[in-house]
Amino acid sequence: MEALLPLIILSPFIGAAIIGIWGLFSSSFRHQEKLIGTIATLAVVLPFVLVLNTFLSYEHGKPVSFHLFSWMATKNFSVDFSYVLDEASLLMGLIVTGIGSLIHIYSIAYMHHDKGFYRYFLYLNLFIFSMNNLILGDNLLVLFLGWEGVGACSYFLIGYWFEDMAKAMAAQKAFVANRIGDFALLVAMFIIFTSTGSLKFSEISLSGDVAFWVALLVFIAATGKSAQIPLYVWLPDAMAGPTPVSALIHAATMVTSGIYLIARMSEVFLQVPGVMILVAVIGGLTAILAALIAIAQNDIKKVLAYSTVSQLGFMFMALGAGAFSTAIFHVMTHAFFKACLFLGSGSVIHAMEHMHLVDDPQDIRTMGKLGKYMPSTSKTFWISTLAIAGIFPLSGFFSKDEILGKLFAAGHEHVMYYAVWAVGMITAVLTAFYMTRVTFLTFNGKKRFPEEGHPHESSPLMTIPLWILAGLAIVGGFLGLPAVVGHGHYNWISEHWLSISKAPIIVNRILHADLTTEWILIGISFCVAIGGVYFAYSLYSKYDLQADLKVKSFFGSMYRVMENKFFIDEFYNAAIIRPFVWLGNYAIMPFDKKFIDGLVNGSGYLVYSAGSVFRQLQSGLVQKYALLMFIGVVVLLGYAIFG
Amino acid sequence: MEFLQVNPFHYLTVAAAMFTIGALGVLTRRNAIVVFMCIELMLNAVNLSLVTFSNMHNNAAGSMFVFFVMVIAAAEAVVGLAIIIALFRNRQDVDINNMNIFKW
Amino acid sequence: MQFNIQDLIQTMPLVMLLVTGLLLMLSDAFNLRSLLPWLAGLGLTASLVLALPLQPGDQAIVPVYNNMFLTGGLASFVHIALCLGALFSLFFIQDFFQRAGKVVDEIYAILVFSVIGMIMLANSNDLAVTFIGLETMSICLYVMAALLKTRQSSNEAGLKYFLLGSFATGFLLFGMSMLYGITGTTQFTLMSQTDMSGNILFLPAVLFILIGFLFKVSAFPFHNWTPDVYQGTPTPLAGFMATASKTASFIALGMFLHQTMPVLDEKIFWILVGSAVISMVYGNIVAARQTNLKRLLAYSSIAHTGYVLLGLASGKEGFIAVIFYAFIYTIMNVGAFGLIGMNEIEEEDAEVSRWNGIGLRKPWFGVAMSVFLFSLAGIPPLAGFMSKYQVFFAAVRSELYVAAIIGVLASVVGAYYYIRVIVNMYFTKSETETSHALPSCAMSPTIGVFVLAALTLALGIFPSPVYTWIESLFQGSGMLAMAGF
Repeated sequence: MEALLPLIILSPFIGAAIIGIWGLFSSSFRHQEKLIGTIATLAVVLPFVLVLNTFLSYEHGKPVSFHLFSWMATKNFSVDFSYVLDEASLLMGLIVTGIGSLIHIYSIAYMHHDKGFYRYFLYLNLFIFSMNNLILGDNLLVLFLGWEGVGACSYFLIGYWFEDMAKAMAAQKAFVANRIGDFALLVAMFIIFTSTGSLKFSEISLSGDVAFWVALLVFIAATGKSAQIPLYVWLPDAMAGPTPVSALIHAATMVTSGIYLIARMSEVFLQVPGVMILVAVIGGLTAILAALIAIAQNDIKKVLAYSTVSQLGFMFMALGAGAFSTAIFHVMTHAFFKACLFLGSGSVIHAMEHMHLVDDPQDIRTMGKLGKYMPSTSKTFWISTLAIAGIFPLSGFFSKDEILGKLFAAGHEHVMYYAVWAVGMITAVLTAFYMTRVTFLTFNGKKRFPEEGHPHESSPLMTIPLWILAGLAIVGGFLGLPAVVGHGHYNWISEHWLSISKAPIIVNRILHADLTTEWILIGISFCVAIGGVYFAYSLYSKYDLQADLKVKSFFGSMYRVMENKFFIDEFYNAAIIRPFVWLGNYAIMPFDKKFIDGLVNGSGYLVYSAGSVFRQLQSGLVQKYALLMFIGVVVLLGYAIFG
Repeated sequence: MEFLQVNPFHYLTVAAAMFTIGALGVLTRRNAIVVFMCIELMLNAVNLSLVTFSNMHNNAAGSMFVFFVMVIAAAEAVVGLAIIIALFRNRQDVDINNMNIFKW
Repeated sequence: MQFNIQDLIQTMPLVMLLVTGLLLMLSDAFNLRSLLPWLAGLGLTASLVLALPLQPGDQAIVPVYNNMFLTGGLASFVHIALCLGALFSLFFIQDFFQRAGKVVDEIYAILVFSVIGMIMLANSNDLAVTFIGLETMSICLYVMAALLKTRQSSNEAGLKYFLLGSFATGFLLFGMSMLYGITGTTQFTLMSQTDMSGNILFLPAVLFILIGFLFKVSAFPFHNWTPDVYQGTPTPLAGFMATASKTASFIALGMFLHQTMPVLDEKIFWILVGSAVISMVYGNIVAARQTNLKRLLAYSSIAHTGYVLLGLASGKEGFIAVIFYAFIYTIMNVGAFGLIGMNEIEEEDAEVSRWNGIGLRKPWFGVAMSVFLFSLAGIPPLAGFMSKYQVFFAAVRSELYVAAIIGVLASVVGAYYYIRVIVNMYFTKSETETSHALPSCAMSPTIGVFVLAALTLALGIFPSPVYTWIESLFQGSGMLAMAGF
């Protein structure tokens, strides 16, 4: 089996190569959807089987590594295409390849009859390839390869359906936000290499100022990829892509890579408590901001997108508290229920589209009572909603409760964590509320689409993945039972899997709270979730869509702000994009035209007045160039002699 | 007659002056051919200084260098004039200030 | 001074090129038109093959002809790289001129002679040889720029390049004469033995020579000619101009600086760094506003010059990275220019809008262009990423932190305009679908594109062989070690 491990990386690549090359050269191949779907799915199922096999036969503290070949080997710098399957990467690998497989299967039905079918699966396979590089690479450069690769694939998939420039703006936005993160990561890599002489995760050890800068830069990189303040704006817009893509890339896998990266570098972060607090605060702010926006949205995918941003905020809170393995736990449970929610929304959109009766198939105001027509979608969607709301005993309850518990315990370290904890609690209420709202308005209540419409349940290819994910969303939480149960001995993820090995991949800050506090916190979480769901349910079942008016009057003028997403896009437009365009139009261009020309003309004038011989000076382009060169010579000469 | 004594310094001064005149001519003249002649002037200034240095150091390397410069300047002139003629054929004009199809 | 048969054997590859050039002129005279590209290709390949066995050995570099010229070792590698650059360009030339409806058979001879000039420039050990090489190269390039003599654009490009180029040569030559005046010799190796640090003329002399080179590599503030000239030059030749001539000039500059100054003068160092930083920032910012692809690539080449100059300022490791970078840059840029040329029929056809939707109409074309552009943008795993990474890495090791960070930032910003072209190719519909004929797909340019795209990909994933090859050239106790490497 060991010899087959390279296939984890290579198989999606081979799949992409086959589909890409074949599709490019044979137009008849492009329409063979079954063949393409099978190749692409197999290319992802195979790695899943391999990762699962490694996982089942894994011995603690003995990471399995494999090596493809040496990427670069020079005297001072060498980096290999080598990968490591340890506790952390195995867990992520299972999520990525597992959910990836389900989404490939789902996509075969969802993308049926799309004219770019082969292109879609090409990108999807390439994405899995890049994501595997990102999580399994044993050094930062391979991680960076994956990091850029997932960015490029996400970019192509966001812009997948758009053939005109204006609408491809969403893709542009994603690209720019990600580039800022990439820049930070590149600089962090340079710093790490100069101070440790290696880019391998296992050999990175930093301290002092270096640790501070690296942690800060890695955090900035993570805010780009994982959509946190101030770079989260791209994620809601990324919903322009096909829905399965939103489920895979923009909910379950790629957006969590920032969290994964921080968790892998936990040792560095633990040395700089200041940055840790920053991480927690940014996470908290992002969580509550996104939750508030989500309340006022009517586009089903937009709600889910903001909910993703909000949940990612929860993960950052956990990271900030030093509970890295808890963050990974939430990554996992979130992957289950959010992928299920997105795929469910895809199923709904699919059904709404096929009715051909509504203008916007994503608007929940034109849905309602869909549960009657789409039982499977409805049930799985409700399960996942309750899971994300944190209803006991679904998975979201356990991971969210653990995050909040750890935050509270971290309050001993710094009082700021209490504040973050409080924000987290409020966000939990809001989450329960808006998720219940969107689900209720979609599947229950009054039928708000035209009477003649008869939406249909999607094909089994789509509902089976939904049920699998819903099942996982129910049981996933038992992998991390809270500390009150047997003093944490039954918290498989944090206590057994991620922390027990002798050389831990992820080091957690030691956070203890006494049992009474734990019980109280669990009680609060329990009540908060139930309360939020119950309140929303009763409100919306009573007033249906009109309940939004109540919410509106409750929030007052704040509601308008929420509806408009806190005017963040407008703010960025005014504060960053407009000045940049202005700079381009009025500063850079005139810099070209006015400044350089002016400089050249001005000094031309100097030369003119200096010598009567040269009175015939007139500006001409070649001479302007020559004059600039001449000025360059004079300046450099002046510097060389007098400088 | 001390002041009539010509020493290497004088040659170099002349060379530097010629070079500067050539460079400033490039910056100011409008006719492509005149600009080109100014460039030739710069090259000849260099030739003068090379010969002077060769004489100072009492070795032939500098003088040899001058021959190369002269040959290459000739080759350059061939190509340059050919380009200018091609331009003239198309535009009936060799004023370099009127030559701005390409801009920023 | 006596003639040494050993020297002739050592310079056989160069003689091979010379013979090829003469044969090409002769064949042209006898109207053997169809033979020309094959003859040129054959000659370049033969010369390349002849240079291969001169590689190994401890005393890798052998000076010949009274220490005027270097062969073997690094010099052979440079020879091979430059011949390869010309060979890559050769794929695109004939097809381009055929479609332009112009018969310019002399281009093959000019191409070969320009390669001779480049090799002489890069491998010289003597001011006179440097000058002759530089001018041989430049004169050929002037001709290339003005090759389509009935087009005003080509005339203008040629004249601009010619006037400014000769102007820069004047400075270079003036610097050379001063350097000769100080040291009394024209040989680099002898110069390094004279102590020149106290001489007041030393810095101006080196500076003037530096300026001549900075012009050739189009570094700020000697960059103005680049966009105009590249835009007016026949496209495949612009690709050759942008890569091979820069490669030769960079290597010549590096060798010159390191051989005359075992310890790089601080002021020269800062001039290099300053020019590098401004070039990369300026090039990337202005490139973002271009609508003509050739112009865009010209500004991007100014930015790339900035990265390479940063490497030149970073010592031995930086120089290795520079050579690697130049090699990779040749591959991807010749490919990109070649593709632009293939999609061009009339003069103004390099507009970005011409590429709208091409990725869907002509998939392999779009894929190949994306490969080149992604590589130029420095996105892994393509070759451009590794080469850029090595240069920045060398800069960081030389403690040029700020410059390296500005460089990374500039390249991150710079990625934007390459991606914009890709957006146009895939996400934008062509407004006038019918009038835009599909790009040319003649045999030889197609093969060329495939070879270059494959190399771009392969050298990104397996850069080690080439990199360690270059690195191995710097081992041992030969001339390079003496020159401070």
